[in-house]
Amino acid sequence: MLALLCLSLCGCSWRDAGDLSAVTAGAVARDGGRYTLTAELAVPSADSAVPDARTLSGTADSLAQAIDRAGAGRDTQLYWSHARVLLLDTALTRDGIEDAVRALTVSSEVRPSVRVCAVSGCAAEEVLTEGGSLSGDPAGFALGDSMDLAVRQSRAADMPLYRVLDRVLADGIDPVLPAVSLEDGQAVLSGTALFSGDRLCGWLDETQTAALCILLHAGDTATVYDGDMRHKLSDLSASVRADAGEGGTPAFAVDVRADVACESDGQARRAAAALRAQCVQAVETLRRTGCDALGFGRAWRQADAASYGSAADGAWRSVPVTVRVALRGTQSAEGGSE
Amino acid sequence: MNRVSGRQATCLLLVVLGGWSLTMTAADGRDGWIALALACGCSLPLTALCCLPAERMPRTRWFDLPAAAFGVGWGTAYLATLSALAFCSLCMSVLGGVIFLRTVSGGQWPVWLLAAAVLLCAAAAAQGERLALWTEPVVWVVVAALAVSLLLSVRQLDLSQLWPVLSDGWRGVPARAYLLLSAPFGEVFYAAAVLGGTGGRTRTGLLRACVLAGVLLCLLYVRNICLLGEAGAQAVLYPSYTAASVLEFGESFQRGEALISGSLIVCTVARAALLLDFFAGSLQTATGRCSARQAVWGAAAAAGAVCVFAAGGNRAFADALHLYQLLLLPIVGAAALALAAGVWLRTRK
Repeated sequence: MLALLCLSLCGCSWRDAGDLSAVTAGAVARDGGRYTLTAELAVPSADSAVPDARTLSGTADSLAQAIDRAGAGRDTQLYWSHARVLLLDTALTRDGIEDAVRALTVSSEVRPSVRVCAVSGCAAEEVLTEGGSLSGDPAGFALGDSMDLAVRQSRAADMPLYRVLDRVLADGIDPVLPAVSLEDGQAVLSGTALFSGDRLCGWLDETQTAALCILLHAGDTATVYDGDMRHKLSDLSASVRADAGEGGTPAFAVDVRADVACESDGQARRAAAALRAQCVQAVETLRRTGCDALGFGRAWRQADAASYGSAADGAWRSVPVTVRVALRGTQSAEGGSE
Repeated sequence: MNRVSGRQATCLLLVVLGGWSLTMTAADGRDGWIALALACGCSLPLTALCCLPAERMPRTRWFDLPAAAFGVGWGTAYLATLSALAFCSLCMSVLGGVIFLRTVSGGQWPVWLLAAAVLLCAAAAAQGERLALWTEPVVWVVVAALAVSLLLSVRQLDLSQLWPVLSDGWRGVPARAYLLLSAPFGEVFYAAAVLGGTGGRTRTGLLRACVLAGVLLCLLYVRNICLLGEAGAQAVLYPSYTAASVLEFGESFQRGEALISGSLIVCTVARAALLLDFFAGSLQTATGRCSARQAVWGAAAAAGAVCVFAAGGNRAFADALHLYQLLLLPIVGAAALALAAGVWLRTRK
């Protein structure tokens, strides 16, 4: 009996696999307080090794009801545990994502490890209904693969649902979401959506996104471009520190360290200078838009809770930031930039 | 006199207290582990106090002690009160497990089926020595599941979430420690009574279990905060479950939550069995009419009915649990103190 109860916890009950329809991706939109949830199903095809894509939608006053309605009237139950990405519509991200993210996190349907993205340039459901992929896989499913690779290569921020909720609710750090758009009918990653609190406040392009991901220390490796030269970074580490400053206001220091594959000491130095310039640009954009993705506020609070508590909202934006980049050449070449 | 060893006492109480690791919230934020550690420390004198009467006035069963200490009339009233308290604890225990299972399994299992399954297993195991024998191997499964869950999460931890420690000072920590001392640690009273025993054997075993459970709970609490973030852990109903479900260990291992949730079922069954055993023992001694088996099955059926009709939402259960935590410690503390005083008065030279 205990074994049966245990099995119920991992979704294994009396149903067999044929009773379940695996959802590979979802899109959430909100219009006038009503949520529309679109689910992408990967339907096995008898004629092809690549599954067919099918989308279903449900609209309701709450996300839990919308999830139920998306699967209503079907012979099989929608199984959300395999969903790899959740796409949030631009209107929803502009209005605030807290309610939606909270509802999805406490939902027993969607796993908290699913990655969340913000859609730009089209409606979120269009990415699933209109988009395709080079491999022929359903757009959302292929996007999940692209996202895995991009996170490992520091080209997209790693933002699973549970982390987004923490960033939205936490004091002194804001969320960022990988941006997704449709280009020539293909669903592609296209930079980063910046948030202040739970509201969309700006976008980063691909170059700035790469610098931000290094600062967020999202992936195992990264690439830095110095003109036409391309250098691979590994063994990355990044930290944000708040040092004591004048009049209770701190000074922030951002330190980046990595190994760089290059042929000479000069190349390592130039790569470090290029990376530093990109990091400074990304930090400037964060300050301009009011997105505290790097946790300047949190570092300030940890260093001096009293002065942080008495400072005005967004005071971190006017605090000076020093960016230091130290790259160690893997072929005995050293480089650094400050 | 039962023949439960200190090691078996440790195993039993560790399994009972281990269930808390999955249902505990992160409502106390990043400093919650300090309240847990404080509660664990305070549970040691409480445990010693609960074990003291049986050591000082050995009886075949702990349930004969109240009559010996207070006289038959007061002893009967004492046991009747405690049997009512044990029934409340039983209902809270089963409700907690059932609501957890209903929440995390998406509600496809009816409440009555879960309650019946848990209570059937508990009633079958509800007998001190049998329960101790059952939990001895089971504790390894429970602890191993929690330890594996902890180890798998090490790579993903962000220890900076714990800083600054006690930024708001000690305000609120004692109040929270009181609640945690009440439940789960206050239920050590039931274990001390059911295991009875003379000498320091049971006491040592229970004290060891309190320390081990305290360490385990603190580690899991810290893990939840560092993995989900302080705000993220506070926002979810069951942080340990959510934390286990976001563990990354290659493509093949993606169901860490099933591993630790299975151990919650075992812990709930053990806790319910312990409470049923205490209820049956106290009711049998107080009334002198029913057999222990009748009391166990009757209480299991009654608790099942209460759970089916009372199983509300998570918010309603959280409020009920708060009330339970407020009330359990004073009652259990007073009962242990009164019995220790009664025994001391009877046995002093």
